[in-house]
Amino acid sequence: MAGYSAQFVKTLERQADIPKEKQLNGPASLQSLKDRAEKGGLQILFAEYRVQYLEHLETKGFDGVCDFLQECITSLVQRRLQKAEEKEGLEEVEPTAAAAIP
Amino acid sequence: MSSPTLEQSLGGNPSFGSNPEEEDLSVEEQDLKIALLLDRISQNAGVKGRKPDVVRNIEELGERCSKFGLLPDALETALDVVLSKKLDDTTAKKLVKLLLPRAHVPEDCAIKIMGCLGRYSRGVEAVLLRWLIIVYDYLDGRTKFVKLYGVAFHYLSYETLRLDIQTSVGRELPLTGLLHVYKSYFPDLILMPLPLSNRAIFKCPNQALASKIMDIRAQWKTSSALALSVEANLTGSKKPLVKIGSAKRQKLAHSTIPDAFTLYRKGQDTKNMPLAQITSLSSLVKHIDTLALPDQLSSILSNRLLQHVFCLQPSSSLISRIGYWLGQELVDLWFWGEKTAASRERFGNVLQKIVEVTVLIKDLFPVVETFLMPFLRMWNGREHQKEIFTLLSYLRPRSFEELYAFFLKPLQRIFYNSGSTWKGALLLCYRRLLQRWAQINWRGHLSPDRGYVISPKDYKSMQGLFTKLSLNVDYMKTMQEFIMHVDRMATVAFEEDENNVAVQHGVLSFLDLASSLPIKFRVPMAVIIPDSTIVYRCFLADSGMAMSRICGIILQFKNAFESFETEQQNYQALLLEYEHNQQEQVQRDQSGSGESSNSLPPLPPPPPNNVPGYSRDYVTFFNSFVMDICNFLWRSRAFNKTDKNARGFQVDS
Repeated sequence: MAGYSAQFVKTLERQADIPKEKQLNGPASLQSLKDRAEKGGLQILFAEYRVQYLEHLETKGFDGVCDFLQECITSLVQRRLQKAEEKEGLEEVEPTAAAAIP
Repeated sequence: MSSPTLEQSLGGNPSFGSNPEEEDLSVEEQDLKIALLLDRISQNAGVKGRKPDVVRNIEELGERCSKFGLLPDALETALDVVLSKKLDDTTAKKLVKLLLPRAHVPEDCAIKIMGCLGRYSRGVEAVLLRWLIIVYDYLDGRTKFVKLYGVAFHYLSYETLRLDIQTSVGRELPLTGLLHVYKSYFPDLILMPLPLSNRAIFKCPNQALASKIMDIRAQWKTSSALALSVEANLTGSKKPLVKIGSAKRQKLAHSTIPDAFTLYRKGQDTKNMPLAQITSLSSLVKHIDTLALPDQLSSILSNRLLQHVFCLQPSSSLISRIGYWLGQELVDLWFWGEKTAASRERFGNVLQKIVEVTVLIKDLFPVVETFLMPFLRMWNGREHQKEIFTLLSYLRPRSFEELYAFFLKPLQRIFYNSGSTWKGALLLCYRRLLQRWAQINWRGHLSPDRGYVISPKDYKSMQGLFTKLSLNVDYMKTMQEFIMHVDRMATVAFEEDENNVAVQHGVLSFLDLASSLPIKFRVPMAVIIPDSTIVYRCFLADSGMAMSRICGIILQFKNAFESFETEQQNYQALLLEYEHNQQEQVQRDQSGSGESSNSLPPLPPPPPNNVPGYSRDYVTFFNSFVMDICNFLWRSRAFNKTDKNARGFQVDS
């Protein structure tokens, strides 16, 4: 899983055009990401990174670990509920939008 | 044939084998000498003063026959001599014992014997009939012979057939066995109950003679010309029965799964529609009630239409009929037959056919289960692995003791000595087995007040096509112990092949199912959590697949625990409400006119179908998995032991 994490960091750095000397060399942790952000590297907090990484893992098919954390970690449970509410709101809006099209 | 040569040959050499020149003779020359001897016996039989010659010639014939046997022509000649009534009983019986076929036995021999019944002394007839039973498998055809079936019954007296007399004077096992076969075909023909016996019903009437014939045939089996001639004779027969080699070997060389056709009709009922005339599903539906099943039900293995009919109209007699054939075929091929490439291929083909039928009807023939028990004890784990695993996954639920003794134990022995791929395959087989058991509606049929065994009123509705569940088995206990058994095996497998993907996949697939039993399959049993070694090894494995899947499994276990608690809480709430209502009712009755209500009091809520088994320590131990994983994945506190319930994967610091 550390390998997937390193790949994900590289992807984020590529997207943000981080020069090679400012890229993270080593595992992504609270301290290492904070250190890189201070030195002009990838501007992301560890708390935000791990959420994004989890979503990335979900797209890769690691359902077990994603479901587990989303049901056991309180902050993720709330986040999931919030997302579900947003989705429901969007679904309610959609019919109106479709009706507007002649 | 030249007479002088014959005289010289026979007269001067009464003792075969003592003359070295005799031993050097070719087979053809020996056959010629046998023919000459028979010719001489035939000429001298019944002639006054020639009996010593006949006896001497028979002795010499015996010496030659015991080594070379008799060709079909010689066999017929010898039988003709016996049936000519020119020999006395003792000599005739001696000659019958020399009827040792080297190749096939002409069907005419059998017909001649049947045709001469009643014309000879009982002793000679008995010896001839016994010989016929022994050589039955070697007949070159049976099309004419089977038509003489009634002749045998003609000679059976009515008293012999009456079972009520048999009960007073003792049973005749062969007759009971025969009536069993009749009853299997037409249950309404034999109405009286037939006692079953575990003893061999149709014993070989003369084991020594049978062995001698088998030895001779085995010795001369390599004669390819002979084999070809037999093969040629078999063409056109209803079902090829004989080939060169032993009786068991004969069955190996050709396909013995018969075609589905109906020869006989029951009584005069011409409304019955033979299966062969059913060409479409609609015609099957139309004639389903008047369908005449084929004479040889074993054709079910290769006839999909018949399989459908069987699913729609199963009966114990049909199952017995298929069982007789299938059991014999499997035992012949695996235990008794010689293990050759051809026999293995045939065994594989039969297994494949059984698998096809089993998958369609979703139940295992009882006879196959019985066969698998001794088979697994001798199995090397490699041959026909796929078929065996498929069949094992259809085993019916039973007590764990029985399951372990007959199936799990022999498989466990192979498991520990096999590679990781085999281990993974067995674990997947166990998963399928557990899934089939889980799909039974246990929750609807178990009675908690009787200790989680099937209630008698639900007994019938829970029967499969063949599956007969016992009323006195705690199936939940079986499933729990089965899961624990696999858990122990998985622990050992991880010790040997820790990071092997096949083993990981097998173990995780099984656990995935086991964790989903209480919620997805609603099986009323306590959650059996896996051994900590398995959880830790999977979670800390090199593979992301194992890590992710064990997380999912732990989550399912967590949900199962929560579901159990919710059910308990709901029940407690219902119980409280019930008690409260009862109290109110009592108060109303007392404060009213003093007359109690005539209506019956409502029943208390039924208890939830959950079994006890969740001790606080058990749940705490499980919580350590959840806490350790959360600490590891999210909180950046891997291997932390200070948090509540955390054990840090029991890694020593």
